[in-house]
Amino acid sequence: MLLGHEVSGVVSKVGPGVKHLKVGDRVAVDPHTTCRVCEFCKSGRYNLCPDVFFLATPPDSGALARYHVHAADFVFKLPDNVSFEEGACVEPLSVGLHGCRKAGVTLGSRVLITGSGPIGLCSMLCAKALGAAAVCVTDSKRLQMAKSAGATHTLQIPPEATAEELAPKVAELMGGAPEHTIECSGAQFSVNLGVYATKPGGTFVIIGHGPKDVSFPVVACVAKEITIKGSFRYLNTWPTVIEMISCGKIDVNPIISHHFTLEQTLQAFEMAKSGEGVK
Amino acid sequence: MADNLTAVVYGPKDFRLENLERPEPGEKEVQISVQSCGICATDVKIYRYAKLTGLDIEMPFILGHEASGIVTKLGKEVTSLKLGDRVAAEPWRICRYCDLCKSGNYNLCNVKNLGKCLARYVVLPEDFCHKIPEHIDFETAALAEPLSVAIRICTRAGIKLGDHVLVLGSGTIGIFTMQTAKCMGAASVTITDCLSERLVHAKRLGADNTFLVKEQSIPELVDELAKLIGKKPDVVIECAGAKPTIELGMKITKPTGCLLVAGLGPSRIEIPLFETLLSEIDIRGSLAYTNNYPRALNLLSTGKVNIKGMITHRFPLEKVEDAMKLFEENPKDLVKIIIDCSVE
Repeated sequence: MLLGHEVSGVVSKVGPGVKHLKVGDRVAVDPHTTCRVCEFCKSGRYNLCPDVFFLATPPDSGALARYHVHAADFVFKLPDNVSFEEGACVEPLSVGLHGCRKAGVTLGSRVLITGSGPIGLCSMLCAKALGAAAVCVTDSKRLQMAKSAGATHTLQIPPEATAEELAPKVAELMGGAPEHTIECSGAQFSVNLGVYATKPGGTFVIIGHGPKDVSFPVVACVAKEITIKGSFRYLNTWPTVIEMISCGKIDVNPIISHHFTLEQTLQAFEMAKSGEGVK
Repeated sequence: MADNLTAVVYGPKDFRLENLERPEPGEKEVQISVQSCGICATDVKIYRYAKLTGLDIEMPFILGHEASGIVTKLGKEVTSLKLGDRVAAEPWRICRYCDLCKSGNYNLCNVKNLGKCLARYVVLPEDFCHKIPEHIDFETAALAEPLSVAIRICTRAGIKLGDHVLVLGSGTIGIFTMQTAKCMGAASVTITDCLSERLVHAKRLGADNTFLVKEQSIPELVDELAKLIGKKPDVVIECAGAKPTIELGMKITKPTGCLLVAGLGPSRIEIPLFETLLSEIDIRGSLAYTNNYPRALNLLSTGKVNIKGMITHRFPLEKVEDAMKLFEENPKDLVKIIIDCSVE
């Protein structure tokens, strides 16, 4: 099976019944091809379709190739001022946007983002585009890119810290506890930090995939009325993200750290595995 | 086989009952032998004017969208239905690809089309045919359609536990809206009409208060109804599509409440818009339904919604034009007309 699900390209052939695209159109691709008939598809939650074909998720093959065929309604035109690289980044940005929407990020929000990898950074970019007043990114290591890409605050997690001890430092740093937290690392520590640091009554969205069972302070959630939501992939995000890139509200270029050709794919995966780059 | 007797509108008042070919089911579709089909105000408007506000329709147009029947043929890849299954037919064909379909708003699909159920046979997508329990008859199952409309009306109106609800108009939609509001936990539902016969049905079917509208002015109505309810209602649902009832709704809904205009009226009316908006009253519309059939069938099969006495007139498909004319005459004892489309 092929890998690759963060795709942009040029339409080279159009199947019967396709009306909104023509050969030569520059496009970005939402990796879903859904069943369209189940209750999830029909109630506007196609990201939960149980019969979905999703690029590069076994057994479904991906798009890391010269040519790829895709359902046309999941393919979106790119304006001339959006590059192919930016077009490919619509996918991780969509993960961030979907998480921010679920978290209720809005004008004036204070947002905590745990994890400074591509998803954390994309969530940060979306939170800022949504009008957040302060976005703090935490990580144990790589925070320089968070800062240069636009985070208002960053917090390096000391090796011996506990989440409960670190939580008040987040509030101090941000000028108040965050009402919205988005977990993008999968680390148990960060799940705990999310519960302790989020303001009472706030929303804590978990995107990161970590170990199956995680220990975290349920009673704190209850007493603070923290709403915990899972966020899976994305839903109807491509048009919005493309428009935000086009009008300059989102600049994803700072997080693109490395370039490889298709022939150098193996090296690219090795670089990604090393943790040295971002996108 | 050209034995599919079908009610077709070709132009204003140019209506023909024709024997067409039976439609064949494509992939993931089924053919249904229609048993019962209800007549609705929209059918009669199309019959009379060959057009309908808010819906793009082309002639020739096959009427009928409130149907139930028996599965008689299966298309390829049908997995959830078998021959002989008794179903309520949700009469939409949607594109499934547009942004409205993909955001759960298939009732607003750009290219949807509706109906074609006033016939012996109809073909629909498998996922729009909903199995009905054994103890529900075909006439009751056909009413799942207007009940689904009422469910969306109540959902869009935001009815919550403890709300006081006022329904203006006691036809089929008004009565179903009244019952659905009660199922959603309304503290009280008051229903009005200008025909006392209709209020008798509403009272029997569960309305907490009924109110007969006579010659009262709108300020008088606001006063009397607010006294009857005990306060200005949180939610008002207008089911008549008429200027006076819409204006009454605007004046009586409590500030920050919701006025849901469900009735179909003239394209333009003069209303006191700004006073209403400045009271932060939400004025909303509602079109058809999305994903409501399972709930409607559950309400009918558990008896939480009662249809007893609502079907007041019945006609065989051969006499459907008589049914249209009766609807236009609007006799006092009329609530719901059901057409028997079955082959005998």
